[in-house]
Amino acid sequence: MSVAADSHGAGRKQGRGRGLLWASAGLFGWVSCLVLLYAGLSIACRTGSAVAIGEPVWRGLLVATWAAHALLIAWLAMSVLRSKRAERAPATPAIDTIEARDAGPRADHDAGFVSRLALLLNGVALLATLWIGFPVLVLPLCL
Amino acid sequence: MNAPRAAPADPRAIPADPHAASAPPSAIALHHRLRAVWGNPGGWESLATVNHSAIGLRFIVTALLFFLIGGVLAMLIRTQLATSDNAFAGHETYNQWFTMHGTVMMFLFAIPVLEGFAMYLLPKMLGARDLAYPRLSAFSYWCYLFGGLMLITALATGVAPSGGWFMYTPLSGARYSPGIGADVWLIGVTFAEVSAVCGAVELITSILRLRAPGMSLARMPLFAWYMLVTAAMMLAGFPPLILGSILLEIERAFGWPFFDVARGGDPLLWQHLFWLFGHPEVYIIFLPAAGMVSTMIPVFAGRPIVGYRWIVASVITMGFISFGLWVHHMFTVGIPHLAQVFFSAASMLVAVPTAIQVFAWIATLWAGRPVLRLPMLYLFGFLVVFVTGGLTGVMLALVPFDWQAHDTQFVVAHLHYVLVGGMVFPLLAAIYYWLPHVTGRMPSESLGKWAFWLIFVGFNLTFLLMHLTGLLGMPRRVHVYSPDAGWDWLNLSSSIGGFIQAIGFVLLLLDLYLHARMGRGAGRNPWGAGTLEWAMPTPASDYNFASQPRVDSRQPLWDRPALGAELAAGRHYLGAPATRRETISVDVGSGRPERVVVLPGNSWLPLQAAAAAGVFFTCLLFKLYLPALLGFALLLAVIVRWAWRTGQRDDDQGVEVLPGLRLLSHRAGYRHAPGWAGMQFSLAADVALFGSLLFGYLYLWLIAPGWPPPQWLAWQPWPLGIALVAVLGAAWAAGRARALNRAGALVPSMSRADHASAATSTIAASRWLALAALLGASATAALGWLIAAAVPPVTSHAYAAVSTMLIVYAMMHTAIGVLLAGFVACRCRAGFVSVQRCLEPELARLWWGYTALAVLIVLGVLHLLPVAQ
Repeated sequence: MSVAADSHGAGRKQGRGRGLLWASAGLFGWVSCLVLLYAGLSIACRTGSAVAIGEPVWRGLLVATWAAHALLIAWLAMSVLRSKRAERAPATPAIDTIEARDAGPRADHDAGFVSRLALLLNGVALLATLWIGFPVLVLPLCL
Repeated sequence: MNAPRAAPADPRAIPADPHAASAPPSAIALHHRLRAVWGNPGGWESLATVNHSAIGLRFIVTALLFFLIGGVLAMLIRTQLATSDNAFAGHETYNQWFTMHGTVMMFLFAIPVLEGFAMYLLPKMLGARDLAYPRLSAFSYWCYLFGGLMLITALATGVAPSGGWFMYTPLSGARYSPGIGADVWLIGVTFAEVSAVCGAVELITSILRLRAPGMSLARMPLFAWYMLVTAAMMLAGFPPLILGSILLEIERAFGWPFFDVARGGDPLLWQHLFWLFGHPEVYIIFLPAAGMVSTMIPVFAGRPIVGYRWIVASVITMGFISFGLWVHHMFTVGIPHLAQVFFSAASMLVAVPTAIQVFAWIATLWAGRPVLRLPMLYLFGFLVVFVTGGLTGVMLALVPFDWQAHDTQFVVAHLHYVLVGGMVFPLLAAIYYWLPHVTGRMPSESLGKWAFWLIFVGFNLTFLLMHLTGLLGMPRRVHVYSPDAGWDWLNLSSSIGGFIQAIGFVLLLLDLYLHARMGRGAGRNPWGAGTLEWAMPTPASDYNFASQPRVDSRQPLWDRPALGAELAAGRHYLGAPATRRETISVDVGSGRPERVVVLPGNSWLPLQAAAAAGVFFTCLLFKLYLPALLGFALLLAVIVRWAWRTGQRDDDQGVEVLPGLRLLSHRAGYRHAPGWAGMQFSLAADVALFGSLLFGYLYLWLIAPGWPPPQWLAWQPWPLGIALVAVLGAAWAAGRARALNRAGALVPSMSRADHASAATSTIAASRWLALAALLGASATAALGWLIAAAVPPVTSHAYAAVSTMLIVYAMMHTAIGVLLAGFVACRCRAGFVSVQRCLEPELARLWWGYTALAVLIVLGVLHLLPVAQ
């Protein structure tokens, strides 16, 4: 009879709990984009700097904020896609153990679920970021 | 039966077929043993019960009682509005009615009833025996009950709040709402919110950790996904309201001007804080109900849900996007058009993930062979009413339309379509669906159908016409209207509809009563469901499962119909008789079993703690500040006693979860301990509160009229320097204590000398913790000095008030850190901490790490922003 020796549980990866957080990273980016656009616009309009510095400068800053977020989220989505493709590639022959045989298909299934979820969420976050930010291009700032 | 399989080499590995394990010698003896360990006491002793089934049912029953009170208030409102120039009630009484109707329905019914369902169902659906913190559940329930009773007592005695359920300032300020009505709201709701946050920490940890072996994220029931997102939203969404309530109560009680324009405050800050909570709240209510729908529809369609992954993605997306909508409640307050468009776009966006779920439900029904049983009828009602409410929501998301319809009866109609459609109809379906689980009896199909049609017709008669009343210009929150307005027939029809609906609810209650008394026996799994809560006899036992299942799919009961019998025979995990309450914790992603969580038994401590909190809040309400301090000290004493009685003085030897397979208990190490996860999620809520406070500071700075203040923070290098050095020193000392205690962790097999060495390092750790406490006390004192010496008079300007609040926030953290470090130091010396039992130093270090960061941010913001200005 054996007992788990890793009493701290610190030397091992913590499953895909963090993976879940990572999968939502694009949506955190969306929140960040919305908050920064709203905050930037408020600062521009409330402090009068939109007039003092000039609306094109502030608009440029807001567009840059929006574009930076969109690019970051797009990069996240691409990196998920790349790692998902890498998962699909034929694996090198693993050590054949009872444990590996038992855990293998299940682990693949679970990893596939989280990575597909991450891809979906990052794609959604990218579209959502593009959707909420495009009015910066066309509407007056402080009306 | 197959022969037992040999234990695998790695104790964390799952045997391929654990079902093959031999049944224990006597299943009957196992059940007797489990009943002795898990059983709920009767009579007065039942108040000490902490079991999730009992607590969940208490939440549900209490919330339904509050629902009845809210329903009676609704009938009174409709009676008043039935005719023009009605003298049935005066304006003050009417104001109390609609304020309390909204407050009761939102805070005392909707959230608690769903939390109750989650508490009752989740461990059963996840294949666990209880939630992660049973005593916290009980504490959460008592806080909710006492907070609710505070509000209802005010209603019964005629001093209820009357400023609307959103308590907008300045109407809710001391000047325009004298008396204790508004205080009752602020304190009672905060009390109930504390309960909700505790519940959220409980649910999120339980969902992530306490599942059946093999239940990976990909196999988790959809209801658990919905509740996971909901609980996370509660952690982020409720702190802004808790903060807003604290600020408003302080303004009312002590005159600190957070919302007073004349002294640099801004009433719109309240609206921001309220709706930062208020809009996610709509989804916090909707998502659990949608989770119930996603659980029931596949059962009645006879096939798995279509688009499981799409639904999960939609739910997570809604969880985020719902935080980006709060300003759409404020389109008429003078925000720049471009900002309104950001939030208008986000408001339209949220319809997409909602629609994905609706299409997935329809597709499931389309692809399956639906059976029109009673719960299904209510689900059809949900689809019709909720989709209608969603469409008017998209209308209101459009800024020009919102300007026209804002504060009219149209908005009242919309919110009822969304909330009743999105939450009440699914809830009624869920009551009929899961009541056999509680009573062991089936509902009557005929009486339930009558109830449905009366509720459905009555609801639509009331609220469909109300859209028109609103479009014709009738505002909200008016107790009389002129006969010349032309709204009489619409209002009368709405009132008749309201009473038809009420008759429907009375029939429903009658049906539930008859069902519980004389319904026919339900048998096991009466609806033919695939989820684990039906893999047990009904009514369910206190321990849920005699043995915990291994899960290999999303519908374990459809794949293994005999699973329930196997579990009852003790053939799965933890099927041996035990002397303490145990359940398995798993790896978050894969569902691999990792630890055995040892759960606490029944206790009076949660009730005592909630009662002490009740004393504290009640004294605050009546402005009895000295007794309030005593109440707080009492609360602290109970919590310390509660914490002291947890843990053990011996290292863990592991628990045999299957023949030949042992797992360590959660007390070995810290990462698998529910306490570690609980601290992290509590800190997440704390971060949300801190973020809201910083937002308030920056908002006032930027937006509020009457700035800059007459006087800035004075430069005081001594208290500032001492606070900084002391707090960083405390964090470092806590880190040293953690490192010292962990020093022996890598020793693979410890000799007697190693044990002695480890004990010495634990004692040394206690000294570092004592140093952390000492430094923390210095930091607390220095921060207090800073308030006294550097901050301008606190009632002079919002700047002084909000700056003081920031420092008070930092002080509270250093003070708690002192208590925590001192407590853990004593625990080290008392033998509760060892190299293996290392959770507590880890918690102290985590707390001090966060506290140091928060203090640095507070002091940085306070001292650097004026310089930037």
